[in-house]
Amino acid sequence: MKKLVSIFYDVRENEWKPVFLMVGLHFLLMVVLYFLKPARDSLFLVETGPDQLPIVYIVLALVSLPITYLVSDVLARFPTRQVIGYVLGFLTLNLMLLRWLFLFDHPLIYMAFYIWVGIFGILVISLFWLLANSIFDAAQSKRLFSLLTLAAIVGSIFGSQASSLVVSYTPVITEDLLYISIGILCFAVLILYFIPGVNSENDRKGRPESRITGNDKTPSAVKTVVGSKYQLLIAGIIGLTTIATTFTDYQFKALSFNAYPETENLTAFIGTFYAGISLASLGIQVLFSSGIIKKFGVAGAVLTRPLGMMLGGLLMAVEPVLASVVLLNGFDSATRYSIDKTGRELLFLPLSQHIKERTKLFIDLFVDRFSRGLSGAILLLLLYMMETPITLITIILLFTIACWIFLGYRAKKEYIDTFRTSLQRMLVDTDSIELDLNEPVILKLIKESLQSGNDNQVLHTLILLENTDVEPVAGELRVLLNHPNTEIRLNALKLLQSVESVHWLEDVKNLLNDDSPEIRVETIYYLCIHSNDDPSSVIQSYLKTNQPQMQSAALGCTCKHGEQDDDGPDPKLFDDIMNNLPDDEKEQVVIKAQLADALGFVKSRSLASRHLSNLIQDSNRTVVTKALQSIAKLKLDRMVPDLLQMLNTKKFTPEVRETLGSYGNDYLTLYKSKFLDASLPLMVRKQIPGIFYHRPNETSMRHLEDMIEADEPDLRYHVIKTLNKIHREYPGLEPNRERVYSCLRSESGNYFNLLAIKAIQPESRPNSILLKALSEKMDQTLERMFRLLGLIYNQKDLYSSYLALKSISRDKRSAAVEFIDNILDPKDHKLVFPIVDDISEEKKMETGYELFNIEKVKYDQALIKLFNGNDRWLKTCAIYSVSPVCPATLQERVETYTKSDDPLYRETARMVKQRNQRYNGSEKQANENHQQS
Amino acid sequence: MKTTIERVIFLQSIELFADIQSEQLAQIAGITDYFTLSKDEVLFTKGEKSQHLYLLINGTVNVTRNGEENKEFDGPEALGVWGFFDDGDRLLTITCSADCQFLRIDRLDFFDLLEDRVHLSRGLLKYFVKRIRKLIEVSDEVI
Repeated sequence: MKKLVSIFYDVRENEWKPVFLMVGLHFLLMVVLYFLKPARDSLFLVETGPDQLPIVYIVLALVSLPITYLVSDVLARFPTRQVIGYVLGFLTLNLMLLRWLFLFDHPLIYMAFYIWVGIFGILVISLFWLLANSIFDAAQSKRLFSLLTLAAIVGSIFGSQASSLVVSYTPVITEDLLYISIGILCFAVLILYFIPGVNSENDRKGRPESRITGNDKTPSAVKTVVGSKYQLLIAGIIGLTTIATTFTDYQFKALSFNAYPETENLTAFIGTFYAGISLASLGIQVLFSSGIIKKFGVAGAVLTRPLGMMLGGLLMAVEPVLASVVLLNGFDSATRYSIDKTGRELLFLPLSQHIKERTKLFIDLFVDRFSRGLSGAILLLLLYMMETPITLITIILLFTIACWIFLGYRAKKEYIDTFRTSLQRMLVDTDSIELDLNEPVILKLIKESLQSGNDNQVLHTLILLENTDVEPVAGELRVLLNHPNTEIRLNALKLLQSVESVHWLEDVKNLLNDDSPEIRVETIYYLCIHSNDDPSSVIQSYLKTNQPQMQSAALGCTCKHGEQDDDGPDPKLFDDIMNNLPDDEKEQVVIKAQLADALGFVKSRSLASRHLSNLIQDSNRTVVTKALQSIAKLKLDRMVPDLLQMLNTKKFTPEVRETLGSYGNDYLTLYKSKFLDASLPLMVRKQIPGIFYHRPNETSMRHLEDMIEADEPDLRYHVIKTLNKIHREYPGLEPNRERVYSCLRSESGNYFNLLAIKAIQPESRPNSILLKALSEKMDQTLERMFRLLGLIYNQKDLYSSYLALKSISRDKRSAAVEFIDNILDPKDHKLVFPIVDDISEEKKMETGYELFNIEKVKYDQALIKLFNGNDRWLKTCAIYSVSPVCPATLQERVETYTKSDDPLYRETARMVKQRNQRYNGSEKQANENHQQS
Repeated sequence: MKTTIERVIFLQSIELFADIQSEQLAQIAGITDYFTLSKDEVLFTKGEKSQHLYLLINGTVNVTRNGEENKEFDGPEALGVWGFFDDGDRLLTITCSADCQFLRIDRLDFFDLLEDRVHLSRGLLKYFVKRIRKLIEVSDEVI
C-alpha cells in the first residue's frame, strides 16, 4: 500500500500515520455526506414536493451564515481537533433525533433534514480542512493535500453509489440510511482520536485567519471588493454561478421527482447520479483540466463550466425532459469541483494574501449565500405566478449563463492586468501559490517579470518559482546568473539545478569565484549534477586542488548535498583549509563562512566543536552567523557555556538566543538555573528569558513562571516581557493565573513601598535625584504590572490603557482609568486600581497601608530600606541623599560603602563623605567665627 | 564632576536628555569625558566632521555662522547636536568667550549604547518630536 501511494505522492517516513488517518477521516466524512444527500433529496421531494425547494434554498442561505459565525467563534476559543470531535458528536446525535422524528412523517421534518444536510456539508468540509491545516505545515500541504482531495472524491463516489445500491438491493429503506451514517460518523470520531501530532503552532496561528470576524471585517471587505473592478468581476461571476446552479438544481430535482415518484427509486436514481458526477469530476480533473488550462489559460478554466451549461440549457429549452436536465446538471456538478474550482482559485491568484484573506471569505460566503437566497426568491415568485415554470426558468437560466460567460471573458483581461501589477508590486504571496508555467499568460508575465530590471521584483519572482518546473524560463534564469545582486544569482542558480535538459556548465563555472560563499557551494553542486562525469569524481577534483577557495566550496557542497550514509569529509581537510587561508581578507571571510556552514553537516561532533568554537569568536558577522546556524543544527552540548558567555558581549544576542533555543526543551532547566545564578553577570542573566521565546510551548511557560520571582526588578521585567511576547503570538499558551496574580500582588506591594519612601522625601534633598529615581522606579513597576495584566486580560487593551495613562492628555488618562475600573476582576482591581486612580498620593498610601500592612517609616529608616534592597540605582541615589545632618547610622553606612566592591557605590559614597566633611568643616568654621565675633 | 551620579544630575538639566530615566542617564554618564577650555579657544569650526556631542557645564560660548556672531550660550547646554546625530559637517563655529567646562560624548560609544536600550531611544525620540512640534508651530505662526 505504502509503495503504491509512494509512486504518486511524496509521503515522508514520519507522515504515514497522520496521512493515513486523515485520508480515512476524509473518506468517511464524504461517504456520510453522499450517503445522506440522495436520502435528503428523495425524502424531501416525495414528502413535500419540489415546490418547496425555493423555500429551503432561502432558509439554507439564511442559516448557514450564523452557523459559520458560531463555529468560527468556537474555533477561536478551542483547539480545532476538539471542536471537530464535539461537532461530529453533536451531528451524530442530531441524526438520531431526525431518524426518530421521521416517525411522525411531517413535511417540516423533511424540510429540516434538507437544511441539516446542507449545513452538515459546509461544516464537515471546512472543519476537516482546518484540521488538515493545523496538522500539516505549508510544505507538507503542497505535497499531501492532493492525496486528501483524492480521498474525498473516492468517498463521494463510494457514498453515493452505496446509497443507491443499498436501497435498491436490500430491504433497507431510505430513512434507515441514517443509521448507517450514524455508525460511520462514530467510526470517524474514533479515527479523529488517533490522529497524532497536531501542529499546535499552526493550529493557533491558523485560527485567527480562518475566523470570520464579522462586523468589523465585513464592511471593509465590501469596500475592498466594490473598490476593485477585478474583485467585482470575481464576485459577479460567483454570484451568477450560484444563481445558475440553483436553477439547474431545482430543474433537476423537479424533473427527477416527476420521473421517480417513489422514495426508494428516487434515492437510487439520485445516488447513482451523484456517483456518476463524482466519477466524471475525477475524469475531467485528471484528463482535461491541465490540457484546457495549458491551451486556453485562465479563460478556459473559467468558461468551460458556463459554456457546457449553455449547451445543456439550450437542450433543455428545446426538449425539457429528464435526460436534458441530467446532462445540464451533470455538466454543472462534474465541472464544479474540478476545472471550475481551479479556475476560481486562479482568479484569486493575482491578489495579495492580505486582500485575498479579506475578500475571498466575503465573496465565497456572503455573495454565494446572497445569490442562493435571491435565486430561491425568484423561484418562489415564478412558482407563485405559474404552476410549471420549467421553460421560463430555462430562459432565465440561459440569460444568467450568458451574463456569466460575458463576465468570465472580461475577467481574463483584468486577470492579466492585475497579475502584472501584483508581480510588479510583489503582492503575490510566495507561500500560498503554486505557479503553473504551462499557463501561457502566467509564463508570459513571469518572463516579463524576470526581465524587468527591478531587483526586488526579480527576486520575488524567483522565490515564487520555487517548487515549479522552471524549464520554460531556463533562458531567462541563465541571464540572471550574471546579475549584480547576490540573492538573484543564488536563486537563479538553485532553480537551474533542477532543469535537467540544459547543461550550461561554462556559464555556471564563472560563479566559482563569486563573492558569495553559498553561490560557490551551489555552483559546485550544479557542476556535479550536470557534468557527464561521476559527481564524486567531480567533487574530488575540486577537493584536491591547491586553492583553498575551491576546496572549501567543494567541502561545503559535500557536507550540504552529500549522501546521508556517507561518513562525511576527511576532518583533516578542515584543518588544512583553516591553516592555509589566503592573505586576501575578503577571501578569508568567504572561506571561513563556507567552512562554518559546512560544519553544520559533519558527523564528527568533536571536529565541529573545535572549529565552531573558534569561528564564533570571528570579527566578521557572516562567519559568526553561519557558525551559530551550524551549532543550532548540531546542538553541541559543549558549546552552551561559550554561547551563554557571548550574551555578555551583546553583539550577536538575537542569533545566540535563537541558537540556544534550538537546543530543545531539555536545556530549559539549565538556562533557568543560569538565570537565577546571582554570580553570573547581570547582562547575561537579562538576555536569558529571550531564549525561551524561541521555544514557545508549555514547558517554557512553566519555567518562565518560576523565573518571574527573580529578586531584581530588571530581571523580572525581561521575564514578563518574554511571557508577553509568547502569549501575544501564541494565545493558546496561557500562563498560570495564580502565579501571575501572586507576582502582580508582589509588584503592587513594591509600588506602595516605593510610594511610602517617596512620600517622606523632603523636596530640598540634594538635587532631588532620589525623588526622581523613585518616581521612575514606580513607573517601571506600573509597566510590569500592566504587562502582567496583559497575560490574563486582552493584551492590546491593556497596552492601550497603559499608553493612555502615560499620555499628556487628561481625557485619555481618565478614559483609561474608567476602562481599567470596569475590566478588572475585583481581586486584581484591588491591587491595581488605587495605583492608577486619579487621587492624591496620601490617599493612595492609605490603601497601601491597608493592603500590605506597610509601616510608616521615617527618613533614615526609608534610606536604610533602600540600602538593604536589590536595586543598584536606588541604592546609589540613597547614598547620595545622605546629607551632613542625617543620623550617624546613615553616615556609618556611607562609610561602609566607601570600601564597597561596586565602583558606583564606592565613588558615590566617597564623594558624599567628602561633601559632608566639607559641609561639617565649613559649619564648624562658621561657628568658631561666630563665637569669636 | 568626577562621579557618575553628579554627571547624571547634570545630564538631567540638558533638554536633550530630559525625557530619559536617571538610571539610563547613568549609562550615558559612563561614556562622558570631562575637559576644560580657556577663553577664546575654539570648540569646533564650521565644516568640521562631527564626532562628538559637547555638553557645556559652566562658562559661556559664542556661536558664529558665516563669520557673523549669532548667539551666546551659557551652561548647561548641548552643543553640536545635529551633526552628532546625522553624521554631517558642523554648521556653526563655537568659541569660548570665558573659561568653560565640558562633557564630551563620542558618537560611536553613544550609538553602541543606544543599540539595545529602547528606553534611551524613546527618550531621545520625545526630544526630537518636541523640537519638530516647535518648528511646526513657528512655521504656522509665520504662515
